[in-house]
Amino acid sequence: MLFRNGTIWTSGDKGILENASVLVVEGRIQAVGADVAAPADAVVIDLAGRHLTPGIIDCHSHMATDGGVNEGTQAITAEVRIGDFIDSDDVTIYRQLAGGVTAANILHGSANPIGGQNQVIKLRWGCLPEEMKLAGAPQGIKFALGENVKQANWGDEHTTRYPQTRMGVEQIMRDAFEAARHYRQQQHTWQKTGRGLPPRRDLELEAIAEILEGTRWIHCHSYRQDEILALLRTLDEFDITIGSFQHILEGYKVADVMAAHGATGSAFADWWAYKFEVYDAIPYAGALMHNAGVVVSFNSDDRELGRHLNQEAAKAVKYGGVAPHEALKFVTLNPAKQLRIDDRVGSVEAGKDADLVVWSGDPLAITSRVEQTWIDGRRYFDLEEDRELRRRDAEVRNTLVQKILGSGEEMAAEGEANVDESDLWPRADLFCHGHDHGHAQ
Amino acid sequence: MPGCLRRMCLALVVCAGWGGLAEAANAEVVGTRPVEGLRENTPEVHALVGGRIVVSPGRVIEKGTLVIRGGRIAAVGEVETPADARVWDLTGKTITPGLIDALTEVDVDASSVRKGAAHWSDQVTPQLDVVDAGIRDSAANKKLRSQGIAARLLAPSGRILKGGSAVVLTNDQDANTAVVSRNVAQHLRLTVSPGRGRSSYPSSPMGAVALARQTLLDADWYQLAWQASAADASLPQPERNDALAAVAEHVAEQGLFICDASNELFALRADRFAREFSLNIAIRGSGHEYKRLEAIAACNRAIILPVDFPKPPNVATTEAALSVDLDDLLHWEMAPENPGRLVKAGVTIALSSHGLDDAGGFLAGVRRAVTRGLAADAALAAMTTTPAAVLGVADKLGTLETHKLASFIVTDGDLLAAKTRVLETWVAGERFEVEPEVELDLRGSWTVKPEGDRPSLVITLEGKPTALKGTVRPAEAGDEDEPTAKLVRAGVRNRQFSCAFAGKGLIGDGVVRLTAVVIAEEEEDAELEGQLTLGDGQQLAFTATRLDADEQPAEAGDEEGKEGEGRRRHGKPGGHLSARSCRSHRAAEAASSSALSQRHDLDVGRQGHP
Amino acid sequence: MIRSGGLRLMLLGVLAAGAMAGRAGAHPEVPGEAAGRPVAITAATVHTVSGGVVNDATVLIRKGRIAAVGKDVKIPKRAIRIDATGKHVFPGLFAANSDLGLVEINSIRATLDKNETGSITPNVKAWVSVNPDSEMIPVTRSNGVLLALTAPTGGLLAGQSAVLQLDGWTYEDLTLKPAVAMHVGWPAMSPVIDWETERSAKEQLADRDTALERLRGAFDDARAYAKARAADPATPRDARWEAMLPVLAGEQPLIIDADDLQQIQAAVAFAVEQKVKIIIHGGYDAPHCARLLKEHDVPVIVSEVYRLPLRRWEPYDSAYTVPARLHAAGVAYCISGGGRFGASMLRNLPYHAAMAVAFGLPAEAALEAITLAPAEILGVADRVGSLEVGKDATLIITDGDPLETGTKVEAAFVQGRPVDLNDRHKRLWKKYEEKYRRLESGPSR
Repeated sequence: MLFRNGTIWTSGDKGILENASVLVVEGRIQAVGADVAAPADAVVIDLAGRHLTPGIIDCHSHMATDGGVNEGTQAITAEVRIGDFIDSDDVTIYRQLAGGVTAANILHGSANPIGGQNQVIKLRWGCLPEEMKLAGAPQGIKFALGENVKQANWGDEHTTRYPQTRMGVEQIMRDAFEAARHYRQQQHTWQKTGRGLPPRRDLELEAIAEILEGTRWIHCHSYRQDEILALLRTLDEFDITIGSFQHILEGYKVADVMAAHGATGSAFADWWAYKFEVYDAIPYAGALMHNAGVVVSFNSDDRELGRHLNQEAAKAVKYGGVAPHEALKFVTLNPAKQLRIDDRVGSVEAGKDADLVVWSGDPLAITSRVEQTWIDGRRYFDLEEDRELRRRDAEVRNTLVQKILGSGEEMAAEGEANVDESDLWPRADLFCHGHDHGHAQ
Repeated sequence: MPGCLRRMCLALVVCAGWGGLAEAANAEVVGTRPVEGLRENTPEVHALVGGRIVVSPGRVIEKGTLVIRGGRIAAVGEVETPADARVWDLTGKTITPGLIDALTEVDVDASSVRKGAAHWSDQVTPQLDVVDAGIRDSAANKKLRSQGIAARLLAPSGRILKGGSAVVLTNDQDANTAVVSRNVAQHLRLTVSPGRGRSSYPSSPMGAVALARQTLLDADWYQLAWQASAADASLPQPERNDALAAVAEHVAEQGLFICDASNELFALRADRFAREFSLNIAIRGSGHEYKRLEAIAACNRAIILPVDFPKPPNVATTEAALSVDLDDLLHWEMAPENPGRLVKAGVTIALSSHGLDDAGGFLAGVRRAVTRGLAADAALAAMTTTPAAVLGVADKLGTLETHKLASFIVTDGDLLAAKTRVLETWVAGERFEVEPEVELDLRGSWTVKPEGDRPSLVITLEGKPTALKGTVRPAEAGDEDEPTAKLVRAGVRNRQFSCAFAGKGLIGDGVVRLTAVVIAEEEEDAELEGQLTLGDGQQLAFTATRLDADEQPAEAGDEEGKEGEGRRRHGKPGGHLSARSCRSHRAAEAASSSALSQRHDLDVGRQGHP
Repeated sequence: MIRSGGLRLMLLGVLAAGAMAGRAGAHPEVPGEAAGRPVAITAATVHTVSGGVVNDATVLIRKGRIAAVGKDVKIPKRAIRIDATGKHVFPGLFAANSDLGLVEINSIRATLDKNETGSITPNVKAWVSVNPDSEMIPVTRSNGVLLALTAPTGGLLAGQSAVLQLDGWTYEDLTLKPAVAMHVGWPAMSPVIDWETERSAKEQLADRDTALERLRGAFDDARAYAKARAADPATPRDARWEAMLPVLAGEQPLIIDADDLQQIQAAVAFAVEQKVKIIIHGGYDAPHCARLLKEHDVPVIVSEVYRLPLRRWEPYDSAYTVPARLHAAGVAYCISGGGRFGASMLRNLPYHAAMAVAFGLPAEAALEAITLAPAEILGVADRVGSLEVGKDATLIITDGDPLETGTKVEAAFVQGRPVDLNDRHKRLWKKYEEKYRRLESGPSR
């Protein structure tokens, strides 16, 4: 397949290429440039001057999961897995494809200091849950700091679960690391000597041990600079490199320490003031961290916002003057780096997966729309086809309504609906925002 | 085969039958309870003659005899009726193997096992056995028998690892005799119900799966740890844990797990979980399987399907219709096709009354599925041979073959035909009447001759044999304006007929009450004898005989027309009544609906489809 | 930030001193002071909204009002000149619904003043509770939003709103027009079943019926009160029904929160029945009953464009296309941009309008939807909303189209007084820029 003659935002070393083309072979990008030739049997997509970008990657999402998002009943729930509950029929997937998102990091919520395991997915609408998982994506786990995990805003009945202060949060994480270390030691000892009772496999400690061993990355929800600093010191002690800080709204105050550790930050572009710990959030944070050498991404943590992350990236230009090509990386290459999947996705470069988006205009302009979204060289969203599908659906809808009306069967009473049990579970992190999520479906 | 030889064989069969009755649950289970008072020895030998016998799906004997002895099938086919058998004339009737309801649930109080060496989580109670909670539920059994269900899988409800189930008969016996098989399956639910609050682990579906996973790992460890501890006294002892022990044992013997799946994704999750631990599972399905048919079929798991097809969503007004998802409209359309589609895709299915508000709608649901593409034989298999095989009771239930339990259904037509009525359900040789015998059919005209010189009257009875209505007029054709009165409260009970009518112009003023004993209702000898109480209190005796047969009115809506006369004894086709609640819906237009599904090749979940 | 020399001269005098530590206290930006002389903004591309775009034009401000707009404007000698070559002048952007000044931090109850207890509270007045020192205000006007309706919420009759201009010492200074509208929260007409709803479908339907009864009852009571009061002025006061008098007299419109078709239709029917004037706020399903709205002169305040579809089966852009569909149908509408996040995100108002353009709304209509249209709908078009002679000089000077993300607002005026465009976010930005500059270059001696 050849995407011919457009403005290619590579998010790579080649920068923005005008009048250039992209060759895709068997789902992979084979070549990018002004003089890319296509084999004779290639399907040609004429960009006609339109813009093409890498697929957008949302580093903080709770879509496509019907497992409740949070298991908040204990301070540590490292054994739970988002991957057990991928809802491939969540219409949010389609709606975000229409916004150019091709991959997302589906995270456990922020109800506890140590939450559950994440799942990185590609938005392969129509595929089975297992097929949506990005095979080979390094494993991760959700940590959280601050108001949510110490149950600050949960109400008066929730004041005794440890920890109730930021001090306690720091301690429980240390304790968990020590416990996991001990657990592994026990296992090694038994394997070597065979002495003692066979040790019990503990899924919670195992997940934490994987963090210590570097095979599981921490994605930590965090706001205040003191808790960010404290966690970095703890991690340094245990020789752990963090996967990413999430939200990190005061990260701009300690960007130097973050950069020294190798910590990355995935933030909101301009949200603030919904909780006290975000009162110092500023839209310039992304630029400040970026300038200090931190890999910065903008995420959505929201089903609606995830539909126009390109516009969030544009705010990095507005607030802090990040160059447009760099700003787009905030939603393409940088989240890929944070998830350690940048060998596969995140830029339009030879060798990577053909996750591409065709835009009607400048991808950083609000007035530009997504026209096509491709994943692995397969088209998952197309504006024309969307129109067709609407027509089809309207027709099917009407046919069925008429059939019901003509059948004489007794209809369900007002409000009596067949509710799927999975509709009764939260589809957002209820602990995060403290605002009304509304009744949008 | 010569008669004496046959009798000898029968005797042998019976002996063999008796010998193998160690744990059998049938009408003649060998028990230990001492006999109090007189011994009851009512013979338990029956021969059901002349009916159409469905031995198993696809194997039909058009006209045969079924012999039952001691609650077991002794012989079936063109066999001689034993001399000691009570004979039932089933001419014109159909006998089908008793149905097996592949999953019913009951709430079992777990507090007793929680007090023992229990799992730390109240959601894990695999050591619970549903039999210990008592299995007798007369109301439920009656409902199930009305649908021809002779046995069911009874399982505990609630929690994540719920406990063990049993196949029980729907006779109203207790666990000593009505349990066919115990610990048939362990029941599993990979989620929790919402609303568990923020303090009680697990409160999310993810937590439930994590807990189930950890429990299975712990069960494995438990075995190893106890083995190690037993072999080496110096080692610390693991805790005692009946829950882990129960799971370990069940897994070790490759026992069946039945896993709930409230939608198609949960079905896939159940399969995935089972593969993690190489579990032998069947899935309790949801009716949504058609949405991911290929993937679910590829899992190669037996699926227990409900037949609680949804009501149409409310689209009465444009505004109401706005709130209805296309998904729900499609589900109304597709749900009855789901069983048929699964069968065509090669999936092993067993049907269940699970999910129905009223189990009395079970057959109606199955019949609906049959009109929408589920082959009749496949449907029958899904209620007989398949559940018997999946639940490991095929040696006792599922077909009408010798040595199996005498559990079967007597109907007035093919079981899966729309208007067929279930007349009787036999459970392990015990007969339960579902539709009471049509006691008497007094419809027609009767000449009533009061004593003395009072003029005769003619009473004409119409309607249904159990819901009579009628009129009364003078016997002699008089002037044009013949006074006619309507009968009120006309009915038959205990072979007594009674009614009342306004006597003016007929026999005195005021309301006349009539009661009669039915001496005979056979046409030639039909006679009623009784009392008339007039409006002034005077009582007159009367006799009544039938009017000329030619003058009997045809009943409106009586499909069998004039055949309402003739023998009414049970076993003959005649009259009908149905107080059953059927789903009222027009006959589904199978052609148009399958055209619809073809035209919009329903792969819900494909691009753009909301 | 500010490049033009003239502008800097103008504004240096009013810039707040120093960086303040991040505390939830008063914002330190000092309200503008009238110049005492005419101000002429010259050589700009002037977007009047009411009369098209004029290139290379001048806007003359005198005594807080627009004295002249055009190419050949006579500029008085003593006027302060602001050379806006290459810049654009727009009317101040106008958010037609918000909780600005009533809420500081969503999760901290002590900072919330927008929802009074009780379902029937028509007498509460939002403007008297506005905190003029809220940090939200400077943050909002930094992106060109200079006007906002601030309204109470909650219950059936939530109270009265006011149009605020975003610069002043007290709430009186901020209040451009008080008692603009009475706010009504229309009950949900059909049940919702999801993880957030505890009441069953049946209970919800019963709640709905009860709520509608109560609303009707309130109007009936208010009418009875009005009658009694007219007959006998000595009738004891009832603060609630006293507040309803202007509504019943047709002088104060109701702003009714309604998104669902059934809600909107019911609201219009109610208005006709009660003979009151209404405005719909929310308006998601308004395009489905456009004719009804037009026939009864009901304008629509589209709450937010950045929304998910209300129903699973609806097209993905069904919320994005609401303004375009209303526009095509000829319904009076504007865009308010508040929504879920309230006042903290009001600065993104122009982007809601831009998103509507991406999905079919003509660009000029989009600009009007956040300037003149809100003014007209809320009855302050005699004062604001466009750059016309006689209106308030409430305007912004930008380096481009405010609907584009990259555009910077370089100067702002409220009633002719220059606005300090510094804000909390810029302060913290500067503070930490300094930290990293020092780290890079070492401590200064």
